[in-house]
Formats: sequence, structure tokens, C-alpha cells
Amino acid sequence: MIKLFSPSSWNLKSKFLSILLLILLIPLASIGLLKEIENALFEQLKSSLLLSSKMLAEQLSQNEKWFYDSLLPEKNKSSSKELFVFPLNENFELDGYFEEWVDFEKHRQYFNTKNHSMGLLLGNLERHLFLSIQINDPHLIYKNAQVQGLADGLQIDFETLGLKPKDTQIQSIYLSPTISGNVSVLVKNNHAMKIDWRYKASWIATNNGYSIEIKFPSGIKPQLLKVTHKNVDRERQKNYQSINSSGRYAMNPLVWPSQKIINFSKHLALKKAQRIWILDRQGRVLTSQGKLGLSSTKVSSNPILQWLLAAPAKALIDRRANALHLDSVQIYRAQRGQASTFVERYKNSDQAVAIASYPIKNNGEVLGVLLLEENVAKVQLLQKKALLNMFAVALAIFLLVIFLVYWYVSRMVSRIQHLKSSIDQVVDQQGRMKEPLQIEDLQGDEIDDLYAAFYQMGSRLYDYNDHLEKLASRLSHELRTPIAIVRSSLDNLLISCNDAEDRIIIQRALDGNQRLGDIINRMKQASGVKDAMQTASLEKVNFVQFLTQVISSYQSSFKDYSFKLSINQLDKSQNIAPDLFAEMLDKLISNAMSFCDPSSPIVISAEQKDKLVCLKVINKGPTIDKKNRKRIFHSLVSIRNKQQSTGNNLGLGLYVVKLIAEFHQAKVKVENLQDDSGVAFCILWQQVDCNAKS
Amino acid sequence: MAKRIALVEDEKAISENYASSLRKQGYEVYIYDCKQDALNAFETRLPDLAILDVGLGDEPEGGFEICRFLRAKSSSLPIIFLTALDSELDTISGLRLGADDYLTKDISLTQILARIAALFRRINALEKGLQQEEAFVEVDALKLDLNRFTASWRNAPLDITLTEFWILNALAKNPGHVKTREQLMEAAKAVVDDSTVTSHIKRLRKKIIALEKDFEQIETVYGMGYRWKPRD
Repeated sequence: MIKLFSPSSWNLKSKFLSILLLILLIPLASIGLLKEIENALFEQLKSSLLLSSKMLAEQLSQNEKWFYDSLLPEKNKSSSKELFVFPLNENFELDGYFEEWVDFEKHRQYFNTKNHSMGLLLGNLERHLFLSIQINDPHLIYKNAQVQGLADGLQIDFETLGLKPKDTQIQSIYLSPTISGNVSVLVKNNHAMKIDWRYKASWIATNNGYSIEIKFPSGIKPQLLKVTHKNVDRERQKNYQSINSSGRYAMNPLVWPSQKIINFSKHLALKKAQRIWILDRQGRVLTSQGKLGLSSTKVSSNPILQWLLAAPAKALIDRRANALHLDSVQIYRAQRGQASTFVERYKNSDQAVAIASYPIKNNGEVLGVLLLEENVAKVQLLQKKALLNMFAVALAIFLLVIFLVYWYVSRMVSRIQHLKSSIDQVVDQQGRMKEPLQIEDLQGDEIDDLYAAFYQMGSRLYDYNDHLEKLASRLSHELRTPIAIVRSSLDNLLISCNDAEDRIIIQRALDGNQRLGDIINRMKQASGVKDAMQTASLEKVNFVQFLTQVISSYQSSFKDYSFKLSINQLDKSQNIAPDLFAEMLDKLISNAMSFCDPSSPIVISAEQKDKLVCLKVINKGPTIDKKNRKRIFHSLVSIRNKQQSTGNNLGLGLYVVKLIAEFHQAKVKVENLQDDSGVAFCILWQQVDCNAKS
Repeated sequence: MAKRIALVEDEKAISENYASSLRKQGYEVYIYDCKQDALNAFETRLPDLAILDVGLGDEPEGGFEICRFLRAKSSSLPIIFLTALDSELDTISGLRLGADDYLTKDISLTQILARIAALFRRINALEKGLQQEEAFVEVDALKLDLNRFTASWRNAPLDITLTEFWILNALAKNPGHVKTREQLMEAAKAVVDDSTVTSHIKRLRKKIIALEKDFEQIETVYGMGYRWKPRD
């Protein structure tokens, strides 16, 4: 865990990958950018809507007649309900069935009494006024010629506007069905009822009353209209129980937009998810065209991306879809002559509608308001598509970059590891080079340079090591010939010399020559031991007997010194190379003899804890400084003062000890005795299972 | 008639020194400083004894070639190798050139004279088949002929050099007695050098082991030297 949170201990790959993850921040940053783009798009949408609405409003302004042609009664003038005249479809059939009215059913106005109701809907087709009346009356009383009395019927009063006020007149028509099918329309003429053939009507009895469609003659455009259902529930009933569409002395004003306005809106080329409203100056809807819903909100064909990017497409809640009146601050402003634009957002939904309202003016007078709406989902869809594209591109780039970086880092790491393993192969545990570094010299990047540098360093180091190791041996070789010359010359002199004094002098020269020879022999000790190690092998030896033998032979050879062997819990059998081990002991003991106080014994102790064997050569005498304790095992290092030096010490003895110890996979160290009375050289090694080896 | 000794040595000072000393002993000495001169001379007439340096001028192994040439001409001609490198002793031994002795150059003249005298004695003994007093050392299966400087193991001849013969003799003469390296070198009339004794002993063991696998009579006494371990 600690490693996880300290990046410095991560390996190269993790470091690179963690840096790569920062690329992921790019899409995050882009989301903010997209929000800004969204705002910009909204602004653009609003201004384009405003521009379009201005254009349309101006077109309408130029056709002010259309507004004057429309019947647009002043609000608040009448207490009765306004009746809207809706544009009917061209293939209208007068049959009493209301299937042609389906689009407007939601606007049907109902007038109720206790048990009865009357639903009214007005339509307009080719200058004809149509009425669709639905009556709920469980007890229909038909007109019967045989029975005198009242029957169910309809009375429609209407007022048409003449050019002059005196031409304004109120007319009434009467319908009294007898049987399903075409119904005659009666008008009062001189107190007598006459059939007016200009009117057409079709009546159908229903389970719960009847429905009737009435077609007015062409050109009759009532300004006010009133429908009265004269209800009779019993035969021979004396009075009607009427249902009126308005008060007794009032009539319903008709709102009848000019067909031209409707045609104008119908022929507009609206964009998808756009809707146009043309309102009169009182906010009444003269016409509306277009739908706000989008045909498709699919962003991607990939279901996962679709799920990720597009919220489940909810149908837009269109509050205005069926409105006959529109009212808002913006419309109010437009009614006052000011254009405005805004985005209408819905609570708890990301859906929004951009709206532009523009006044339709003529000579400074506001005739109406043009409202242009557009579903912002289109912009959001665009935004999501952009996000998707960006996501796809970013993902592709990200994957590519990850792949490339991973490949590159893997290659780099493997090259570095290769370099490391090449070095490990040629450098042994003690840091000596076994063979020159074999690395091809490449002319490439910095790692190749590193390779080259290692190669150069390695070969120089190897040459240096090799040179050092062979120097003594070579030197001894080179010196042997001149020594041989001196020696043979002196020998010759000695053989032919009869003068006793001269012979002494020659003998001295020979002794000196002998010493020189000894020094040279010592110089090649290290390489000699190395040669011996190449052929030596470990064998199972009775170690106690071995030590006893060696120590007793030292005791017999060096009678001036005393040796003491102390063995403690030691396994008898040890795996050693006896010749080499004896040589190592030889060096250690001869070192101890050089420094020891002859009055105290040289102690050779061997003890074992578990598998760890510790052999110590302890002598009383001068101590060794801490700084020198490692150095003394180096090649050609001798730390002796003049008195201790015998003159031909080359500092190779302890180096040979180290070499032989390493051959036995043992560690060698030196420490001062606790009371600083002397030093102890320790050889430590792990005992190998002798039985397994042997 | 004076014995003819051929000395092939490229180091003039050494060869002159050796030559002057040998001449004083009554030998006839011929010095050659390169392989070709020596071979040319040997084509005409073989010496009675040859002392060869291994490296001759530009030819690091010129001495070996001369030795092969001489051995091809005569199987009994005594040959002594002189070398500056101890490590070369193993090479010479390994090559089985049939040399009678190989010595390092730091050997003293007295020692060299002793060897030459011993080799001539061996030749004389072999050639003349002199009815000398029998002088043998026999230990276990080892038999040393002190007149002919030859050795055999279970009656099979041991191909050993003069130095090796003297070392073996020193050990076998007193079985069970430890001989230090110094004592062994003294016996072998060679310079005192621990590692030289060690390698001589190694070579000796190898030669006898070639005849008998379980041979372990030459025992190392660590810290002291070697001894001939009598068979139980």
C-alpha cells in the first residue's frame, strides 16, 4: 500500500501510464467547451428564430387585409363563450358522423343541464360555415304529424354583419328531426315555417341522443351565433327545457380567422421541430402549423453509446398543443409592439423550447403576434452528436497513444533490462568483471548512447581489472629472465672464485637475488590461486581432523609461537577444497604471526550455530582502524608500519584469503577484540548438507 | 670423449653463462638462439643432451617443436626444458613430449649441473647395462631404479621426469614420514617454491592414477607437506 502511494517507487511503465491517464482530462475539459457551444447555439437559434419570425411577421403585415377579413371580436365585450371556427378538411362529407372533426374534438364546447348536454363545434370550408352539434338526450321526442305537441329540435340564431349597421340582421333557422338522415332546415317567413334549401343538415340518432352536421350557405359569415337545443322529454309536453349556448339575450361571438392566414401558415416551409403560431392581438390562436416533436432522437446506432450519451427520449410535453389562447410575458410584449425571444425550459426535464415572438404591425397598429417555436432538443441532439464524435475520436486517439506509449515503454524497459542482464552476466557478486561486456555499438537514441557508454566503461573496466590481475604475473614473468641472468652469472662467479672474501660477497648477491625471486613469486600468488580455483572442487572433509592437523603442524614448524585450537559444537564433516582452505589458513596464521604478541597464543576457534559456521583466527596485538577493515582485503594493500614489515610484503595475503573465502561462498571480515587487545579474522559460511553433496 | 650438450636459448646472457659453466665441467657446449639454427645442426648430428627454452624469439612454442624433432630422431636422448613460467610446466607435462625434466629458469647452476650429471648417468646405465650394484627402492607396488632413474608401478613403467623421480624417491624411501616442501625440493635439487612442489606432486599423482585409479598413497599433510602413506 505504501508503495502504491509513493510514485517515486513505481516502475517506468506505471509512471508513463499514470501520465497517460491525464489525457482523459481532455474529454472532461471538452464538456465545458460543449456547454459553451450549446449556449452559443441557443443564441444562434434564438436570433435565427427572431429573424424568421420577423420575416414572416412582415409578410403578414403586408397582408393586413387578412386580419381585417378575420372575425376577431373584442374580448370582454360579451360574456358569452367565444366560438372558434376551425378550418375543415377538403374532403368533408355532410353525413352526421363527426370523423372529419376529430382534430378539433378537443375544442368542442359543451353546454349542460341536469340530464342533458350539448356539444358545439364550428368549422369552415370554402366560405361555408359548418356546425357540428352533439346532443345527449336520453328521451328523444320526434316530431309526429299525428300527435299535436312539441318535439325535440334545434334553433340557431345568428347575426351577420352588413356593410352598414342597418344591414346587420339576426336570422334564425330551425331543425326538427323526424328520422336519421338529411334534415330539412326551416326558416321563419311571415310567421310560417318554410324549408330553406340553401341549408343542408344531416342527422343521426345515437345511443344517447343524436348528432347533427349543418352546412350554411356560401358566404354567410355570422358574427354572432347562438344554438338552442329545444328539449322535450315527454310527448305532449307543453314547454321546452332548452339548452342555450349563451344567455337568453346574448349570442356567442365567433372567432373566424381568414382562410388566407391559415393558407399562409400551411404553405410555410417550416423546419423540423418548428411550430408557428399566428395570434390576433388578443392572443387568440388564428392558426398554428408544425410539430415540436422530433422524428428521431437517436444519436448513435451503437446501443451502448446511445445509452451513454442520449437520455431516454421523452416525448416533449407540449402544453400549448391544443391552446386556443396564448398568454405570456413575451406575447404581451409583442402585443405592445416589442419583439422578444427566449428559451422556455421545463422543470425536471432537460427539454426546452426556444421561442421568438414578433408583433405583426400595420401602420403602427398591432394586428397580431407571430410566435415561432423550435424544439431545442435539436441543438441538444447536435451537441450529443458532437460529444459522441469527440468521444469516438478521443477514444481512438487515447487507445492509439496508450498502445504506442505502452509499446515504446515496454521496448525501453526491455532494452534497459537487457542492458542490466548483460551487465549482471559479466559482473560477479564481488563486482569483478568475468568477461568483457558484449554490446553492439548502436547509433540511436539516448539508451543506445547509454549502451555505448556502458560498453566503453565495461571494456575499460575489464581491461583495467585484467591488467591489474595480470600485472603481477606478467611482471614476474618479465623479471624472471633478468634474475636468471644475474643468478647464472653469480653462480658462474661463485664456481670459479676461490677467494673466501669474494665468495661471501657473491653469496650476499645471490641471497639478494633469491629474495627478489621470492617477491616475484609472491606477486603471482593471486593469479596462482585463481588458476588453482578453476580446477579445485569441494569435497567432504573431516574438518575437525583437518584443523587439528594443520594447527599441530604449525605448532611443530613454528616453535616460537603457541597455537590454541578451540572447537565448539562443530559438525565434523564440512565441504571444502582442502588445498585452498589450507592455503587460506596459512595466510591468516602467517598474518597473525606477523602481528601477534608472542607471549599470548594465536587462537583458532571454530563454532557452529545451526548451519552457520564461523572460523576465527584471533591474535593479541595491534588493532585495525575501522576505515581499513574492508580495505585490507583488497589486492596490493598492506597496512603495516616499518617494524612490522618484513620487506617483501606485497599486500596479497589477505586478498588471497578473500578469494578463497569467496570460492567457498564464505564471508570474511575482521574485527577488533572487545577489549581492543587484538584482532579476530572471521570466516563465515553456510554449511551445505554434506550428505546431499557427497 | 667430451659429452656434447646443445643449448637452445634466445637470451644470450643466460646461454653464455650456462655454457661457460658447463664447459668448465668438461662438456662440449653448442649454443643456438633460434629454432631453425638448432634444427639445421641437429639434422647433421644429434647432441648427447639438449637443454631447450620453450619460447624462442618470435616463436612462443619453438622449444616444443625441437623436442618433437629430437624425440623422433632418438628415444633415449635426454632433454631438459627451461621455462620462465611455472604455468608452462603443466603445459609441457600435458603435451607428453617425452622430456626428461622441466625446470624454471631461476634454478641455480649447481642444480642444473646435478641434473645433467644424473641424466648422463642414467643414459650410461641404460646403454652399457653396467653390472652395477642393484639399487632399488620398493614400496607397495612402486619400484624405483636408483641407477637408471626409472620408476614402475606394478611393473608398468612410469613416465616421470628426473625431478619427479627424486621427489618420489624422497617420499617412498621413508614411508609414513612427512616431508616438507623444502625437504622435497632439496631432494629434487630444485629451488624452493611451495607452489612448484604442489604442482609436481599433482602431476605425479596424476601419472600413477593413470595406472591405478584408487591410488592415494601420496598424502597431503596440511600445513606441513606430504608423506607416503603405507597401505593398510
